[in-house]
Amino acid sequence: MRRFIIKLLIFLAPIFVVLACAEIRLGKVKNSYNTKLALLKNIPGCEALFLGSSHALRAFNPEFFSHQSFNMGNTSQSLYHDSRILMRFAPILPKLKVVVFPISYFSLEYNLETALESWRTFFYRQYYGIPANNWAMRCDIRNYSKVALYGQNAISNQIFYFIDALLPISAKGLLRADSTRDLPLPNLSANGWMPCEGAWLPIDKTGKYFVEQHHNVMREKFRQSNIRYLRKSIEFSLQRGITPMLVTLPVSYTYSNHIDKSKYLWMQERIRGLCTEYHIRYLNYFTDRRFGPEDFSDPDHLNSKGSEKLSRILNKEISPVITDGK
Amino acid sequence: MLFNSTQFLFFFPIVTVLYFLLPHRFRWQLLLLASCAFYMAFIPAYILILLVTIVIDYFAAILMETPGISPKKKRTFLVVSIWSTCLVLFVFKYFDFFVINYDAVASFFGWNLHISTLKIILPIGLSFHTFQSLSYVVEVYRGKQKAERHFGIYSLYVMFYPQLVAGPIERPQNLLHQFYEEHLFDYQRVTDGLKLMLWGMFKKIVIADRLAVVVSMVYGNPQGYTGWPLILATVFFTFQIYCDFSGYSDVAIGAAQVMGFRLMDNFNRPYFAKSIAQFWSRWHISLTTWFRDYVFLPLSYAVSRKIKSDRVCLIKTEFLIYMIGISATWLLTGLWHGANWTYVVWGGINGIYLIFSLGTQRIRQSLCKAIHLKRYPTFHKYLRIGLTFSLVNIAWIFFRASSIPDAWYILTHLFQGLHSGFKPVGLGQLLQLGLTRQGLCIAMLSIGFMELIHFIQRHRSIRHMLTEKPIWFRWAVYYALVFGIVLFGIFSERQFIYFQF
Repeated sequence: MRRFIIKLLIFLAPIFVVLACAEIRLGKVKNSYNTKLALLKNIPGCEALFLGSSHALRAFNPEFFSHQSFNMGNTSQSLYHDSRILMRFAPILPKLKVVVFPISYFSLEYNLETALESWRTFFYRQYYGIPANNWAMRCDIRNYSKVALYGQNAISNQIFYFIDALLPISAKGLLRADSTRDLPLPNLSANGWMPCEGAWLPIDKTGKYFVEQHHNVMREKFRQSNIRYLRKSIEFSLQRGITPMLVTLPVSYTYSNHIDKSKYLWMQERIRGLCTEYHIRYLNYFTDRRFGPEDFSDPDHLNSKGSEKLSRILNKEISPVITDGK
Repeated sequence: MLFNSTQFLFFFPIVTVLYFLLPHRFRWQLLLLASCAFYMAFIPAYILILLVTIVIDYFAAILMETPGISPKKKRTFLVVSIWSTCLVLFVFKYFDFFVINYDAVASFFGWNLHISTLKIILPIGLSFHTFQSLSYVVEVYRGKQKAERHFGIYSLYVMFYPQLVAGPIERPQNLLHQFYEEHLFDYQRVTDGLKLMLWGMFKKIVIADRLAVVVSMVYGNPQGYTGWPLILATVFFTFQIYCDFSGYSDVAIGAAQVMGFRLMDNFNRPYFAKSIAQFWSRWHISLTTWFRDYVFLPLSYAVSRKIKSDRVCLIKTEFLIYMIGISATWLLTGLWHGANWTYVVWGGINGIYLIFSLGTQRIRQSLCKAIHLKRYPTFHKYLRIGLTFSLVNIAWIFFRASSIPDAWYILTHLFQGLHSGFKPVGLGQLLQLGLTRQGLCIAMLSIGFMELIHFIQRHRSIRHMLTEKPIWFRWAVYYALVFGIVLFGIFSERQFIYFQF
């Protein structure tokens, strides 16, 4: 058995070396999570923080706010992660006065850990130190290893590019598949906002499709837990003298025409109840007529033009709070 | 838990190391615990179903060996055991299929009685461990196996994790006694087992899962294709299902071998078979021998006792018995694979092949003699291999298609548009089937590599060949396989095809 173990270790040594190199190299890959963290650390004087999913990521442009602010929204981010991000990073933002929680149509019935993009949960663990809520996911190796997180494709790409660099010019490119060496760099501005250019032709069935996709991930069993996360966030904010604000972002009429009215009314009732209970403001732009098709890049995401419009409107609400503390 | 998952990458070494560290008397407990954990990684509650069948079969076998038991009572215990096991299989696997067909018949006849489907997820490996349990009680009934008195050992026989979810379907005479044997660490045996696992993983992750990309695209929407894409997808499926299933079997057999257990071989280079009968003696051997021993032979014997004359309606009795036995066996084999008429038709097609093969044996032999084919034995051999491969491919169309109309469409459009030959536009069409040019090359080369291995294996064991080579050559081969998996594997944790059975 000793002979076997020695031979096995010698055999595995080069494999471990390759994996270790891949682990180090993949740790340097830029993604939206580590990029946002680095940007946030550059703004210690941040006074307003925007959280939320891709709706928020594209909607809030801090450039149009009077006070220094940062967009900490990210694709498919849930209320659990919003809550934990606030608790995690508020201590490094001593001047934080306002935190904005976007409440989308699906927010109270959505859980990232059971959705199609549940793999993002491991990015929160690796880059923000926010563990999964689900205990089974906490034991997943993707919480600790970049190789496991990015997967075999990333390793093979690294190895192909390394070999490709050694090949003669005539043979270069033979090994490479279509992908680039690194993941595409996140298209983020210095204050965390993701610009999205282009208008979109409002087609009713596209809006219907988007609503159906959201209905596929919405589950009533997540309602209580999401409300609990929201409560915790509000209470945490109030304890630290930060003013929480709940905002529902605008959507196109092709989207709002196809929602389940009972779900929407339930969501409204709960949100307004929370706002009454904690004496905080709720701003609902869901069917705001100031936003037309030219402001959207798809049925429920604002483009750059719409983002500027919303940011200017919201600035009028937030600015007095920061200035006067009201 | 899948063999091609990160969880198994940790599970297997931990269990194996603990196995060799523990004293022999505790090893069965470790394996049983590990097997429970392995099974519960899917849907934990389903282990209760397994427990119920284990308890029923365990006590049925012991009761069958009660001293002085009458043959009638003994048969009663056997029937209860078989019925209860099959009932579980029926409820989870076939009930919804039964309801759908009943509804179709009911609406045709205008009946008002409607039954709702259950829509429950099939427990993983249900068909496999059910058959393994059934073979145990039948062998005890026949007196060929003593009933296992140790409940833990019997449970382990049913749940042994390497072969729990997709076989090989073991016989009690082969496996049960091995749990009592003390397996010492043996360098050669352990390394051979690991090599087999590595080869199995290569077949599954590099070949099968890569081919699956094209197969899924074409068979997911067959009406969108004609000609070469259909042919390519069908041939790719032939190799996909082989690499998937034999890959799984290799990992299962290798994992068991590392710990000292000998499981039966499940595949023996089936695509080199020279006849359909030979193909089925080389493909999923554990299942075909199971059906032979527990369905075909008893049924044929029972039918032969009913027929007294030499001929029935001008058909020789022997041939008639064979026809009945084969038809029933292959329809059941098809049904075992899945609750869909496509599987039944697939089974029926194979039955027809076998009946036709036996029925026309003399005619074909005369034809070969007349055209002097035996003067060209190599050509004759490869002609037979090619024909068998083609017939198997045609049957696989029904196995893979989602429905009978889809299968019929594929069959009738395979050669459409080919009269214009293999033009570049055909190649362009092939590259739109989900794989890049590199991906298609890797798929073709790896199939070629695998078949080269099989070709060499006709006369020599690859394992022995490697043992004779210097260490640097052996390790180069192993590293090639490992890095082949890392660089060219498809890691979508795609389930093994036979898991759904």
